[in-house]
Amino acid sequence: MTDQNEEGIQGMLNQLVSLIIIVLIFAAILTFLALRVYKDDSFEKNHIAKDMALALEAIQTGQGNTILSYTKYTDSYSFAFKQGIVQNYKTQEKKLPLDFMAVSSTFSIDQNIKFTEKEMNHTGTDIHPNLIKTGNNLYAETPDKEYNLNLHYYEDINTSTQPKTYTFSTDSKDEQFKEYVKTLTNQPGYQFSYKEHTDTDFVITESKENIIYAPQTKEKRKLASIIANKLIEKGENAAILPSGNERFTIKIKKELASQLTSILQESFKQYYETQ
Amino acid sequence: MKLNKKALGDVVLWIIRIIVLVAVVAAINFLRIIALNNALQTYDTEFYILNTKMMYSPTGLAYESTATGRTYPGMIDIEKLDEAYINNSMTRNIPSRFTLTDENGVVIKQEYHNKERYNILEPLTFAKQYNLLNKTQYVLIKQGEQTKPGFLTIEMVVSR
Repeated sequence: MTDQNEEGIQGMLNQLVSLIIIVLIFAAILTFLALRVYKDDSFEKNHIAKDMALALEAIQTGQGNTILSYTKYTDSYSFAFKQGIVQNYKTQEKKLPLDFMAVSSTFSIDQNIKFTEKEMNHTGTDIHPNLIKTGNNLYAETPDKEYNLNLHYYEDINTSTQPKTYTFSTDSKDEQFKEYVKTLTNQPGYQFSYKEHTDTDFVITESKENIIYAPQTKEKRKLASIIANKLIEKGENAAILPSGNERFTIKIKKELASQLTSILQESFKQYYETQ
Repeated sequence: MKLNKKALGDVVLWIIRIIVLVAVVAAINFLRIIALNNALQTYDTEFYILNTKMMYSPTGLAYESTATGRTYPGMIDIEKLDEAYINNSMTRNIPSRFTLTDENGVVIKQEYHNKERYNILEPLTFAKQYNLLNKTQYVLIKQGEQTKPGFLTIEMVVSR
């Protein structure tokens, strides 16, 4: 009888200890979850990751060059990009296993556009990361020197963006027109040089109509299209015709001569950015 | 020996209890994540982006002149309405259907993205769990040298 009682008491004690341990473990886990959820910024991370994913999809939709400065949520969030996935995490969490702490969102990739896997840091109000699509390249850029993405972009993706020296000449007898053409030289960014003879890359001539005679290569036709578009943007008509040689001949209305510098500067800028 | 067997049984029982407990806590966390995702549904925006891309982007269905490289927004290149091209153009497997019809509503061409899943889910869109987003737009259809008016309908099935 005594043995049975002792065994019964022992059994009850075991059950009680088990129950206490289970309650303690459950309470500990719930406390962890409650504290984590309370302090946790999962909602914000999720929102930012989705927002960035949508921005990446939208930027692929745009024609030509698009630069999106991502200026939102500058309170210490960072991004990591993989193919079709954007991860968002707090910058101080970076040392922890990223996949565990980060919130991910997926985005569609247009296979016709190269997505450059770069990490984009987003660590302060003065740092505005950019999502950039130039031609068939899509990449993330940040001024953060740690990643030096600007440098990588120009080195890795496109080394042909260095402008060469272009020579200009005019066969116009009008002194004012000649002066306007000469102002193309020594402009910042691109190296233009003026010559007195017509054996140059561009011959600028005055005309009643705006006509661009372009050499028949794809790249040069593209440059001609950009120049023509710039003229059209200014409310002018412009035609593109094939050139019989390797040089451009730009026939331009005399009254537009004063805007020639800005038209060509903008055109070259756009041309190089879409290379 | 009896005691050892009993102790072993207790240990096994404890291991099972802990596994069940962890599973329950994980399930609670999982429900939290699902609730969070549901609170941030962005399907309308995604559909809008898909529409815009297909209508206006050279990597969508918009016609692009090979001679000048110029893209004609709103002009659909019928050659591009091809399953392989569409799959290449969007990597997320959101089931979608693209239908080109002429002015009288006669189907000229129809293609799918993730066709198998579309055919399974489309009949279920009467239920709250699934939603069919669709938009029909007036377009010009470029077929060879010919250009004719028509309509492009884009349909996308999303699960809520």
